[in-house]
Amino acid sequence: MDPSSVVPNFVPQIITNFYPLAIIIAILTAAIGLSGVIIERDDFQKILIIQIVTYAMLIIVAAVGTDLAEALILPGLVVSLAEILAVTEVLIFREYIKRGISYPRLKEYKPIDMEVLKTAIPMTSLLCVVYGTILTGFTGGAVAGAGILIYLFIGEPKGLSHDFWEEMSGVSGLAWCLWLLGFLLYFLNPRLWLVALFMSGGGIIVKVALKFGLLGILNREEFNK
Amino acid sequence: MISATGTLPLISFYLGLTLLLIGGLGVVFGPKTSTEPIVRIINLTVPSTGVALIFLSYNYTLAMLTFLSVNPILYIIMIRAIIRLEEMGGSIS
Repeated sequence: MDPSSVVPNFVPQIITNFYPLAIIIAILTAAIGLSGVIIERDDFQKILIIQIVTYAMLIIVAAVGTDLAEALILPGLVVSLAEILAVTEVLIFREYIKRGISYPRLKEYKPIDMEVLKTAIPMTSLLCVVYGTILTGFTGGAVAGAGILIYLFIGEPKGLSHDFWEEMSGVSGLAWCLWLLGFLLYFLNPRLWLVALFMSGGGIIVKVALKFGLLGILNREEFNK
Repeated sequence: MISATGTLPLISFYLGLTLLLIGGLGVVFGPKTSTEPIVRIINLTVPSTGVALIFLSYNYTLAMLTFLSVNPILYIIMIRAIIRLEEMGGSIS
């Protein structure tokens, strides 16, 4: 197969020359990893070996050599991390079930009794929210969400209803719809780009900030608060 | 994008591919790996260095930085799993 038919035209010649070698080595590595998965009996060891196959797939994506490849690698890394975390957790849980031991629940966290933790909380969270609003977008949402979390967890506000966290995730879903609508408008009617930009920018900041409500739901489920 | 001239990207590219292949062999067939999972994790650092070198040769700055920061978290998760499984009494699964 001629590599120049696969790689886009504007890629430099040197990457086109790299392409077959990188693909061959990656497929060899993946074959080694998969043969290891077949030989190995232990489930946890299989997870460790699968990591080799992940690396090989990363190289196959990277061999294209465009910015799109980089954009595809980033979510792949994060998703593989989450996948490993979930699978190891399932394995540990299964071992507990097999041995008939109840899975240990998380210990309740008790904050240190410090004067700063009582007085500085509203100002810190306000600063975080304001700075996050100025930043906008994904990063801003994370900063603002951290501010909200500081206020809700350490500040211990009075009068939070039981359904508060579910309402927060509902608003987060609505904000995500706003983001999607903004993108759709951008493609349907490009002359309205400013409205679309504000819709998607505002939507993503609210969505990411309120996604931290998931931690609140976890808090409620684990500690029955 | 790779700069068209200069041998440094070439060196890091070939070194990365070699490390990936040899490290993969080491993780799968290395000595004592079937009994000690921690040896496997230590061997896993070799191919991950290779992948980082290949990203470096392609000038994927963000991807390389994310990869390097994701790796320690990965090792922490795996070692935690090993500790949890060993606490329950020796043989895993």
